[in-house]
Amino acid sequence: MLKIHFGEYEGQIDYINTYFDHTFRREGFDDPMVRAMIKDVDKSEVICGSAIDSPVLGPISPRELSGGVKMLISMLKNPDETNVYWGYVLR
Amino acid sequence: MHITISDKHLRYVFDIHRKYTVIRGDSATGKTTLYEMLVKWERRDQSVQLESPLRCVTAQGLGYYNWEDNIRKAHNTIIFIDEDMEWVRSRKFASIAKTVDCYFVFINRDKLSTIPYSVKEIYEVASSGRDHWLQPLYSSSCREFTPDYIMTEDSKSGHQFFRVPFGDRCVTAEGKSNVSKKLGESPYCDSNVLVIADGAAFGSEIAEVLALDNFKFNRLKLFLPESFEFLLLKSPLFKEDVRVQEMLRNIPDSIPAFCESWEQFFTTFIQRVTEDTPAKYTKHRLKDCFVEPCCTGHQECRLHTPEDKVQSILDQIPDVDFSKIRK
Repeated sequence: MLKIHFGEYEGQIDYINTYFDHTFRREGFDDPMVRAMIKDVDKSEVICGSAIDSPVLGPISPRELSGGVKMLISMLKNPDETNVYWGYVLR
Repeated sequence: MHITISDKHLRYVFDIHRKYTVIRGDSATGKTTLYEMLVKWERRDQSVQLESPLRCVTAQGLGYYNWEDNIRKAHNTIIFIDEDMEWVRSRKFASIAKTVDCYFVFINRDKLSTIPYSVKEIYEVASSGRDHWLQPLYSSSCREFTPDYIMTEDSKSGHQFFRVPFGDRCVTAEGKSNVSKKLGESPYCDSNVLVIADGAAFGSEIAEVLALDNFKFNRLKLFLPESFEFLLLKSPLFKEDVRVQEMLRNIPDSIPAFCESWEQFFTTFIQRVTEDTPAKYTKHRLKDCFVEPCCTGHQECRLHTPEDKVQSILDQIPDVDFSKIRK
């Protein structure tokens, strides 16, 4: 279940880029849901393993995915309620 | 200032025009990649080449804990800051940034309400193959519009001016951050409203205003000149003033480097050129000279003009029919 907390939260994950880059697992990219997220948000295709083809940047590794999709993948793969991700409202 | 940063696969080419530049746009367009290339260059990674007339540093280079001191010590520098840096949203950062002779490029989708940035300096990254560049996020439209109300961002000189032709049909939002709230209130939410605000410092509000239903349903038009003073300087009052005409001919070169906001520049400029005249300009109280027909005073006035001053300003607002509300 997605819960939204307004304001600061102790232990929140502030730096999604750093967090994702050190926690992602190659096998995670075999998940059709992860592939769909990458396709939908970053308009990029997972070619094989964790190699990704971006229309903007060319061939990339998961480290070059956008902060938005990194957060979505982290939320999917770490559903533990103790993980709180920091974000803000885009207007 | 022309900047090029490239590696074997990508090349970003863009210009910086004002003290504050904001890069926004969708995920995966290459914003973070631009920033990371700058970080690599800063760490002397030889795969990245940078061409810039001024020194470039990133927020990473400034450090998380001693950014204040490092910004104060920076001179003639372009500072790139991404959205991971929380301090960029603080008032402390805004007050330090204001005083230093540096340019700031924010790669950030936040509102950044403490920074007076222009709507013209908000960009998104566009790309074609290897090449990436910055293109303005907002452009003007030529849609015809007949307003029921005029809304100014505050009640200073601009509001006082537009009260003359439009009376009670000209209302104030009492601050630029209140514009979107006021547009949601009755009767403005159900009426055609023309918002007039200083484009040179309206960058933080534009996204919120354009997200309103009023805009989606074509009941809202924005007129965002650099500032109200800029409109006045283009009026017939200053037609014969060489200093004003010279400045208007080449605005970017007339404005000092590191000027925090063009709005401030135009205010100071109009104050200077009207200093020893009956039209001495103050932001808080607009002199009759700017709206009434010129008098035939005892002295020869160098601002004398036979033209209709109010109409000359209204003529600068394109594609708007004022007939419904004009007194």
